[in-house]
Amino acid sequence: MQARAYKITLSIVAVLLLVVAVTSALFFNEKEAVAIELENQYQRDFYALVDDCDNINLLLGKYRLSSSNSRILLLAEIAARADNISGILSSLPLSDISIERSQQYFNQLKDYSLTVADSISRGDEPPAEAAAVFADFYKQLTELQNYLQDLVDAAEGGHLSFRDGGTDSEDPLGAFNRLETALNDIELLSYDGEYSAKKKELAAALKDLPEVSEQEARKIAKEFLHKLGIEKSETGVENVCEAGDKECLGVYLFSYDGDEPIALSVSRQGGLVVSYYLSRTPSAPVLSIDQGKQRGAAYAELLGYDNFEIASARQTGGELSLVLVRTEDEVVYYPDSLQISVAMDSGELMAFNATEYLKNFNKRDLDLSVFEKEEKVSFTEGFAAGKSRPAVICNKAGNELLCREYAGDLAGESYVVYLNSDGGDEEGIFRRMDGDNGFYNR
Amino acid sequence: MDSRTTYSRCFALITLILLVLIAVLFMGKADGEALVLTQGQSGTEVREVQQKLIQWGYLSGQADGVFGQKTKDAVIKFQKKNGLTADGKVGPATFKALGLMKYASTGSQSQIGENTQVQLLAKAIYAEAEGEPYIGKVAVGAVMLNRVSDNRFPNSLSAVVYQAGALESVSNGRINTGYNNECLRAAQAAYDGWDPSYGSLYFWNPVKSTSKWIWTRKILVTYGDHHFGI
Repeated sequence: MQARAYKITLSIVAVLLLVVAVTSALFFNEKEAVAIELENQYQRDFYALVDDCDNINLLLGKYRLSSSNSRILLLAEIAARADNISGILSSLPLSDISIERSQQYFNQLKDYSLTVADSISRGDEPPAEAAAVFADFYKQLTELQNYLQDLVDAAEGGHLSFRDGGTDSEDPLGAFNRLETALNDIELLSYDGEYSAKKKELAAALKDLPEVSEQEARKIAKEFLHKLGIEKSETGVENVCEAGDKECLGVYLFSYDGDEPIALSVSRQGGLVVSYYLSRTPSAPVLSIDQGKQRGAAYAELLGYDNFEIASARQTGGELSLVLVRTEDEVVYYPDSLQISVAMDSGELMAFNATEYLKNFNKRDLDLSVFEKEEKVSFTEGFAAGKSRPAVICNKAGNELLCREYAGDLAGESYVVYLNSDGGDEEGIFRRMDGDNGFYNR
Repeated sequence: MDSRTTYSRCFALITLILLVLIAVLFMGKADGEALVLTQGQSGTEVREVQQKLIQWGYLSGQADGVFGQKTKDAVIKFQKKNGLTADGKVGPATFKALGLMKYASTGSQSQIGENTQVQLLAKAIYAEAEGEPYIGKVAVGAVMLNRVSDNRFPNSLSAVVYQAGALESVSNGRINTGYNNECLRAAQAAYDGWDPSYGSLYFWNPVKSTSKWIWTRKILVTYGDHHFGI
């Protein structure tokens, strides 16, 4: 009897052991296959990076020689390849070293190329310094390729492995680290573009206003809450940056804890409410989108922001998020924007944010005489645009442009087109996305 | 102790070890797959499931976000009524039947008219700051978007979120487990321009962070367990 039980047990154990062995083998095989695939992807990315570097150099050489409009194509290709390198740098397993300067270098190369291409496409000559800047890029990239060459040699000899952190011949981290160090010695570019080293002023609307004390800010916060019908006791205050800080907007951040906590910030300079957040999960929506929009516009007025119109409205998770832009004398100022969020179950204010408004609002000296008569513009056939209106927009470099705004339809889709009021250059095209949950331009 | 008892104990022990081994191997394979809620878990997803069960009369009382026995019984009742496997676990099929489509897959299911960038941001917020206060969630989203605008980081949201080694949730696969309603709202808020991080490019949990370098950053603000800085 005991011998039989013993045999049965042995059989069960043997079967279980077999299952474990087979499962383990399958599991480790799969793991190994995934690891190989990952290494292949790293190798593919690495070769693409080397190829892109090489091609950028070639294209820069051609650009120096070209004097026709084909320079736009050359610069667009340089930008695309630099963008690709930036993407590859983020996907390679280089997290143990800093690659921020390398990212910065290729982002600036992309952005600067596009900035110059834009200038040529408008019929202007490239900026005076462009030739020298591209010559520097050419020289620097030639030198940078040396740092990659050791890795190329290692790869061709079968001695490059990202997965194992390199082999006896070359360590990928070491090579990219040397690349980063070399780039650190190169000065950052300052130009009129998105990724320029030149920083925009943090808060134009606040710069001439006096600094307020914490006590004064507390009073301002209390008055703001009172306007909303909220009487709560503050539970904490945090000082975020100093007044006039170049890196961060200086605010007093007040907390009101409880079941539905509130965070409210007041600028240290000028004592204006910068933001208000109510932490609550809204229940099922009761209000319609239109009712939510009306509530949002009413909150803007209640908080002292008159003459704002709704530029976008998106309902997400029972909350309607609105972007409102300032209008004055029939001019719409897109940089002077507010964000307001309304709970669609109760209509209460969930969030208010005036950061963009405070960053950008200033007394502008605009020449609106050009808008006295309607400009005759010939758009693409089929685009039925209405009457234009003056609009101030920001380009990617952060510069404000006075434009004519045209809204119209093309093949059943709605678009907004911005033409520079000075010369008629096309500064932007946005498609209006409409749906059950609201609308926005992209 | 007779030989029979010794033998029985050895047998039980060996079987247990083997079963644990098998379970560990299969659990390892399940990583990163669809969200499944079981008894003992808690959180916003549990609360949303409870709200649906209460709404449809399968559960009474308040939604407390804790998956206890009462919730399990209600789930079983719901599953039986809807022709689902009545195991008391809330997986993709049950999520779908409950109308919680966003949890019915690994989070990649698209919602008509939804901005995919906001959805991706919601995934990152959920993975990195699920247990944080709402303002801390918006701040995590804002950090991601601040990186997109900063020339020292990749210039698309997908590249920033999936940058190798940048987010712990990407390294451990948690990034692909979906998002909840609150994270979607937080993502939309950040996308619309709320930046409670005040321009921060980094966030870290001081208790968990092992990097010495991160402490060289200037802390601008703290929400919940996260410092935000530049």
